[in-house]
Amino acid sequence: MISTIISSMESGLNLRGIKKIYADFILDISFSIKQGEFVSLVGPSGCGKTTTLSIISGLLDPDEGKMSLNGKDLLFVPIWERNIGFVFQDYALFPNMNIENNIGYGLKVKKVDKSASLARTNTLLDIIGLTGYNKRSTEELSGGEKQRVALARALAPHPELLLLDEPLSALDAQLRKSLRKEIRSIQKDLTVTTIYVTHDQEEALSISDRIIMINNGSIEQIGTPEDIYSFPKTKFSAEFFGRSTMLPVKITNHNSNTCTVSHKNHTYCTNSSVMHYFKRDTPVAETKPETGHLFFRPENAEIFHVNELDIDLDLERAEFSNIFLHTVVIETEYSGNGYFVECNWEGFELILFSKIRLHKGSVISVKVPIVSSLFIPD
Amino acid sequence: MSFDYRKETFRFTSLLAYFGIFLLVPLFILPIFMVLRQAFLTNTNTFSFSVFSTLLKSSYIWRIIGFTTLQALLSTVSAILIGLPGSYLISQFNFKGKFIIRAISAVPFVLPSIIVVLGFVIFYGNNGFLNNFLMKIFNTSEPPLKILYSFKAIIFAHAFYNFPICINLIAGYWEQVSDNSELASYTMGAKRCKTFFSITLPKIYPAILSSAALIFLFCFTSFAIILVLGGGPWFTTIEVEIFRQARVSFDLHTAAGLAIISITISSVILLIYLVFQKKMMRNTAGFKRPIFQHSTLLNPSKITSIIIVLYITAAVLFVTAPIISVIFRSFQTQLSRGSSALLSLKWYKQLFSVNQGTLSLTAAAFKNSLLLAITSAAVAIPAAIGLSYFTISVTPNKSYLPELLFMLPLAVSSVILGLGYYLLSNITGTMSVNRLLIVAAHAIITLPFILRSVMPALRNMRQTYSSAALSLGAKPVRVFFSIELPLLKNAIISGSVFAVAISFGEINATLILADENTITIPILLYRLIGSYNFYAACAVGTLLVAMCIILFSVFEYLREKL
Repeated sequence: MISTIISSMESGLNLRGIKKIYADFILDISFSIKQGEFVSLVGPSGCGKTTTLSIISGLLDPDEGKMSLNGKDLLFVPIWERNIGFVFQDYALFPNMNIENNIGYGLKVKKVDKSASLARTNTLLDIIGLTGYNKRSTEELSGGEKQRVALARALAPHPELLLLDEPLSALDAQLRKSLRKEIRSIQKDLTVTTIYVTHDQEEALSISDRIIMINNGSIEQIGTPEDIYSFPKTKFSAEFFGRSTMLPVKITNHNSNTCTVSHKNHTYCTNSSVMHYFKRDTPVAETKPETGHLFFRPENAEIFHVNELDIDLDLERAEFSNIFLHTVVIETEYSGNGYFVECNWEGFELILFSKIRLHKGSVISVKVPIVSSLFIPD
Repeated sequence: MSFDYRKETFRFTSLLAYFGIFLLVPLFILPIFMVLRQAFLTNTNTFSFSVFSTLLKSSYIWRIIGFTTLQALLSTVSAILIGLPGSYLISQFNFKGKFIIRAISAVPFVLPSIIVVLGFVIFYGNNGFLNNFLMKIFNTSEPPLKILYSFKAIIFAHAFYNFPICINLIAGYWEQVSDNSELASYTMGAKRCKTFFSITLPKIYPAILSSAALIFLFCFTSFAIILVLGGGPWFTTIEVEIFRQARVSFDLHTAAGLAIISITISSVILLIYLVFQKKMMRNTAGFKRPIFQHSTLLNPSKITSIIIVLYITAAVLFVTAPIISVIFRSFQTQLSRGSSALLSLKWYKQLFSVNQGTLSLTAAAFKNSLLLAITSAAVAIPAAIGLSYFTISVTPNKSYLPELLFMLPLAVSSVILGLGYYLLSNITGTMSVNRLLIVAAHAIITLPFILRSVMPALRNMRQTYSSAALSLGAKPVRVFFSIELPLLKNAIISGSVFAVAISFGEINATLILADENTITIPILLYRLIGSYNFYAACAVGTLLVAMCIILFSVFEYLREKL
């Protein structure tokens, strides 16, 4: 009874202070994943994503830290007893076995009887849409089919945790999109706790319950895709998920809801929590100036095709916004549903988004709601 | 990055490795130690350089060293001259007959040297097919070609035996380093000749020199070819002299002293080989392209096509004529000396009838050879797999040093190895031990060939296969048997083919080590050739060739079915 309570308390995956130390790289991470959750591990190559997966799977031993899965301590459990499914980037389908034997390998190893194993294999083949592929050789499959079989093979022994290491990176863009949907729906149906490693930010945003952002061996930010995209906590996670404006600023005033920052002689207000309020004449408090960046996403900036913003007319809205006057269009870049616009504002670069094409050299005004303006410390 | 689960895998595969290390390393070191001891210890067990001072004062010994070097040098140059055009054609042009050159150049690799010797006698000999043919054409009674039992014959046989090394090594390298720099040179106005000497040659010389060093090493320590084709004291090399001193004059001190001189010279040559080999690897490291890069291959012009056809024809004739002659001659008989040959199965009937003198030994020889090949392979294959795992877990990065280290046994010729075992058997004495020593010698001699095949395959095997199997719940031992071993299968089989073929043809160590009663096919052939019974030798040779063909078919079948 007590053990069930404990395991229900500690269901899912828990990593506490897991460390792996190399001569030129140190991994140091802690995070928890809930039972049935789909979490993406995101970061540039070499940041420690694959090392993290290797440690969780048991391919690699950590130097320090604690790690448990559904209440059971994972350390000192050899990889073959962890019951963690692993899908590799290169699929790693055994070339010496046909599809059926590949999927059934984990069951055969666990001494599941033949008919049950075959039934499970056929069920999985149905799920991945490759019914009847039992006797085919691995060479006969396309890249996407190989990836599906690799997924089925990992799922066959009912793993408590599924690890996917950049499973789609070898496929073309079109196939990646349809397969990631498929992976997500299979994961939801089977409610298997999943860690998905990718360096593709769009992929991570589109399928994850939560995203864990890793850079240089440590966690930058953990959050829902919406959180991470709109409210990055560090310069790194801000820049990783798409383009944005980063204006160097100093903090001049800071309270629980808002924070006032200054750039040269301009003062701006940023959203430091969910709600915000802005008044132009808020006195600058004598806090120690802290440096950082004023951040906003291009699509949150509103563009006005006039040199001067008619403050009188738009005062109500301007009060809740930061305003950039005399902004000059430098370059536009077409992206399908609109244009990314690189602008020069007093020698600094603003990245905006416009539905219509703007001409080089035209002068515009930009208004960014405070709710979308963030202060990101250095 | 060291994966911890590897410890478990390591624990298992190191069992195989220990088997290899504890069995084979002493079996390699011990005979060398015995040779050293014999060379530096006098009969009263005191250390002395007297053997060497006597040897190095003898003009006879210096002449032997000089001759050994000279014949190796000329053989190397001939082999390169024959092989280089082939390398050029294979690596630079796009044509259909490539596989013929490749197949032909694989034959001498697996052909026992004693068969080559026999084939040369039957084809190029005074009464051989070539001379008979020429005599009929020019209507003379004197054989126009008198190359056998001469310096020329040795060079010729060595060239035959070693030109494929040149083709394989140089063509492989040339293909990899081929790029458009020659074309660039042409566009800048350089002529073909100028381009070859200023661009191509500087690019491929490491391959030429490294294959030259290897060929030189093989010719320097060549034994059977010199023993039979050379004939007489004028054409004696160090290896033949070691054998003569050990088994004819029973002067083991001199034999051991000569062995040390041979090992010293061979080591220097091996070092040269390693230096150029390393240079080659460094040069190809930058070229990460597949070996067959068709974009840089040229389509042959008409003249080149003619040259290609001529080269292929010549190569096919050069390699197959001696073998076909052996097979053909085995079905012939002469009723009396000088009469014309008739077709007959006489020799085969004799081979398979009991109590017919030497020939009744045939069955025993085949049995022994087969047993020897199988037992030595049974020792060498697991040892090679274990050593490969061991080496790769010790040096997980792509260092080529271990692979090169395994070339070191090449510096110790099989004659010297045989001498070491012979010295060892003088201590142990019993016959059954001697037979085990022959197995050990064969295992040691074949091991590098299996390693050369298995090690790169293991190194190139994707780690994720094993990781996937482990994550699915398989223990390391199971992963080894169900995943890794099947994936290494082809490499193991090709390595074993070479190993068994080499064991079948091995005469050097066996000849020096075996007593009168232990007879293998090559020894039987050697005796038959020695007693000028060429027809019977051809019949045995044909059976050996047939056995090799059956063997390759079986291995080919296994490769596909397993």
